[in-house]
Amino acid sequence: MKTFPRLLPRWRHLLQVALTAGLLAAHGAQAKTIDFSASLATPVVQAGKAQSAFLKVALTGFELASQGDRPLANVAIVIDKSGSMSGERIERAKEAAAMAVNGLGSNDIVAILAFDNTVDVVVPATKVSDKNRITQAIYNIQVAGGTGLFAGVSKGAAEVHKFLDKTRVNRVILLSDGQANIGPSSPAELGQLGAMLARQGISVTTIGLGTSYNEDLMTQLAANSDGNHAFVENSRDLVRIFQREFGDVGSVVAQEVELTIRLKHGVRPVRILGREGEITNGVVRLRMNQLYSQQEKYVVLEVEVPAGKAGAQMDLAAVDVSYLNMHSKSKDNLSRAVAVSFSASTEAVAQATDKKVMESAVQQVSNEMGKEALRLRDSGKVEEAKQVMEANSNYLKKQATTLGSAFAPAPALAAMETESRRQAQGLESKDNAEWNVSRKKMKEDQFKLEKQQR
Amino acid sequence: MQKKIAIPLLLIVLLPVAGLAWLGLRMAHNERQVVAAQVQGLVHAQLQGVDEAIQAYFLELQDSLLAQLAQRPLGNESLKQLALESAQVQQVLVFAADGSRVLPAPGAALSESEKQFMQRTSALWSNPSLLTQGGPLPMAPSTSSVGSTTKKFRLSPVGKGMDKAEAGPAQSGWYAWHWNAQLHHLFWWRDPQNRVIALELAPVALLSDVITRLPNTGGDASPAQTRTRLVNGSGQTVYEWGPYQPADKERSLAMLPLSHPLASWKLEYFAPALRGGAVANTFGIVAAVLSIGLALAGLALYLYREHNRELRTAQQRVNFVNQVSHELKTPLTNIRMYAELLEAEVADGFADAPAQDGAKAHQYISVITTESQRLSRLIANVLSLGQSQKSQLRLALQAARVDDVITRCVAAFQPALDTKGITVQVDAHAGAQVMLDPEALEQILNNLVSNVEKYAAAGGAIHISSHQENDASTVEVRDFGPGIAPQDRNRIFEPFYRVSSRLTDGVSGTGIGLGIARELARLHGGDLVAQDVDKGACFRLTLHTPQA
Repeated sequence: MKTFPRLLPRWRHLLQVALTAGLLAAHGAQAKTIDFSASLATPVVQAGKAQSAFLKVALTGFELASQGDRPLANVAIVIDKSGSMSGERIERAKEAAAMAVNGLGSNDIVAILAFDNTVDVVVPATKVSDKNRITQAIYNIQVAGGTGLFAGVSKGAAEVHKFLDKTRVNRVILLSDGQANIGPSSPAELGQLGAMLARQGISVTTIGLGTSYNEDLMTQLAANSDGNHAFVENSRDLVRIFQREFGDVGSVVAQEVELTIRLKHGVRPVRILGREGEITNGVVRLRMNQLYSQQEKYVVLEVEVPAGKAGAQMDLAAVDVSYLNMHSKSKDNLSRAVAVSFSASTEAVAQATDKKVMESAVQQVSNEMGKEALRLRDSGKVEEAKQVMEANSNYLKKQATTLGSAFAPAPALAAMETESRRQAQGLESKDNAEWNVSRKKMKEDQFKLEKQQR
Repeated sequence: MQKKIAIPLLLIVLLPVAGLAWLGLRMAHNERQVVAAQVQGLVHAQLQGVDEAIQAYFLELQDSLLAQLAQRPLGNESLKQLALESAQVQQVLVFAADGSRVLPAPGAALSESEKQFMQRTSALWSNPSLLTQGGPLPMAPSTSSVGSTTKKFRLSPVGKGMDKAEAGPAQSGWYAWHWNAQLHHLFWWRDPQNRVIALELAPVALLSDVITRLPNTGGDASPAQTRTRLVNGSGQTVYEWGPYQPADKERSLAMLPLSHPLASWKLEYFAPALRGGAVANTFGIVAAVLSIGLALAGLALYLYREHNRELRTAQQRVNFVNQVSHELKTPLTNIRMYAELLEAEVADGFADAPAQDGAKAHQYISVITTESQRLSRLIANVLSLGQSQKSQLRLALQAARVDDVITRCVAAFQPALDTKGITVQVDAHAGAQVMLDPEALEQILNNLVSNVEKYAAAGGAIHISSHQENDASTVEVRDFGPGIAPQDRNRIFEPFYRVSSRLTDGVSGTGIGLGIARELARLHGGDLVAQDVDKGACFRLTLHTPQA
């Protein structure tokens, strides 16, 4: 089940570090724990002025030693069977779902639901002991009607809830190709549903098929429940996407990850980049539903550091994480402290800059700009959107040079810059269908970057 | 004549058919209504069941919220933590006993979501008593009922799980309000310090929970072809289930508003209308009506043909009589002519014979003459009737006396009446000179008297009375024979009708005499009718006879 992820170059180094750390931990203390780091992009800042700094808190899942370590799944596959799914789409969806079921073990739990205006529980939550019966039921799904997406997800979650177990990977996998039109249908409402399910320990993975689904709704639902999101333009790719999704399900090493960042007095939180979190009185709370094996998930927090004297050092924040270790089935708590020092020398500041952390921060800042450009484009301000993307590309270019060199700019950022310039052109598109596709692609990219999804 | 019979026959066919059709439709309609009422009842019970399931969910949620509150300290931090941890609760607000705000803490910095919450609940902050007006669940046991102001906000005390609380002001309840077209709910609870703690539920979480408790489509649960919809306050379908696909604007068969705290929502029930049964039913009725209609139409056709046949026979008879009468006309003319010649001859021949002989011969010849005259008149009448009935009858009015005509008639019949032993009593009081057609009157009287002679000889007497009044003369001819049954009294005037074979056995007659008599009387401005008397028959003849 577990496949070594096809890694983007920018992760390779980090993962190797994490891997080594994970192995060391495994050898040293028997119990594996996740790799947890909290660091500033600029551990040394310019003295004498208040300025913003990026705090990155990163969590990396440990490696699963063997197949037996794989956590058990408790999954509901929710398939859109509205009229638009007819033909190849539903056939591919059935095929993908059937293959996914075939890949599960007899102790895993699966439920199959199909929805149009109403919800049909094709296979109620059950152990995967009779694969033939389940696949038969999947192939019997008939297409008709509207898109009651809210009810479909609710019922899917209810099936997962029947065997809800913290030591299992509890997940709803939603496949839809259309706009929700029965029941709550706004991205905000589905986002709330996702958040509510996240609190119950259920995440929702959304797979958007074709070009007529609502990508805002699908990404919001996935984001708030900390599931994955994928844009599948061609139904032929469904099988691959399902396999990757179930590979992910099988590689969960930690769940119920709660992150608390307590900022010291005088340090003001500016914004959380990427993830959703609650900021009250200098305390930032974040949740992640799960961590996958050997995969880094992080959050970048922009803070304002008060002016300090050169040579001085101050405590910036205390970061706590608690999570359910899927390997040891116990709750782990980890803490880190972050400090910042002040220096009068610009060189010293530049010298001390943590390039990897800075890169993540730049990526997230750039992502925010991309989202802003999308918002502008949505409200019809194509010119402004283009300007934002232009600025974004320039920002990426500058940072790539700063973090690498003029001749060899940081590769991850350079790649992003190319992508950003391409997207800027996409923004101009007058052709609705073409823009529709680029927008879905942009949403997917933004989501993946924000949630560090593979 | 043809049309006259066709209309009643048509009516005979159409009326029962129409009546039957109406009855059938009425029955089918009633049956449908009964079935519809039964279905309504069943559906209503079913929807009620759904409402109860939703109520049960609220009860369960209420218990779980109370349990969560019971487990933790009720400080601000702890309550905020509750909102963070719980899947359902999204915000918490607390009022002190005096109605002042405790949470979200006044003065403290508010997070974005708390600010929105404050906005949503601004009505409550200006009037905290609104909150506690949102009563407990209608299903929750209550110790007394104070009554309800509205369906939405019940003022009845004590929710479930708060049994220790004495009756009085409610200890917990639900408050529902609309904000941005979305229904929000607060569950409030009065804590031991008499503070009110209200938990705001995430609308989406609530809805999702409700949906998971409602049935699915498919499976063994609902094989019936129905569709039930949960419709929110703005008329949008929130959730639906059941395999039936209603048409776009199809009207629901039944509707049930949900109970508090989802009072603005309703359930709508759709199912295929009971058309199948109705069609079969209507088909049955139509078939029955058609078959009965066909049977009746056959019967009517049969009667119609029978009637036609009778008419044809009658026509043939008329033709026959016409022909015979024609044949009789020539010899009769000869008889009359020669009788008159004979009379002249006899007058000459017996001029010198004894007076008695001459008188006798003269009398005989005059009888022959009068009788042959009568016969030729009769034949003329028959012929005219045959040609085209009454239009050919003509009156020749002249100054005459009714009584004279009666006397003449009686004289003519005297020998025949004497032979049959019938005594004649004449009571004549119409001696005035008036305008009348004496021949027509004589023909009528002859007919009446000859009828007596033919059919009522057994009575042994005939009474003829006459009187005059203004311009009308009346003659009554009465016998004491077997009489005429009341039902026959009109029909005897129809041509060719003869009362019965019993009466007419061995008696010859054309059956047209009375008909012509009546026609003549009517032509004369009067009428001829059969009177109702104790014994025998009595014909009353009235004539319009203006003064001469």
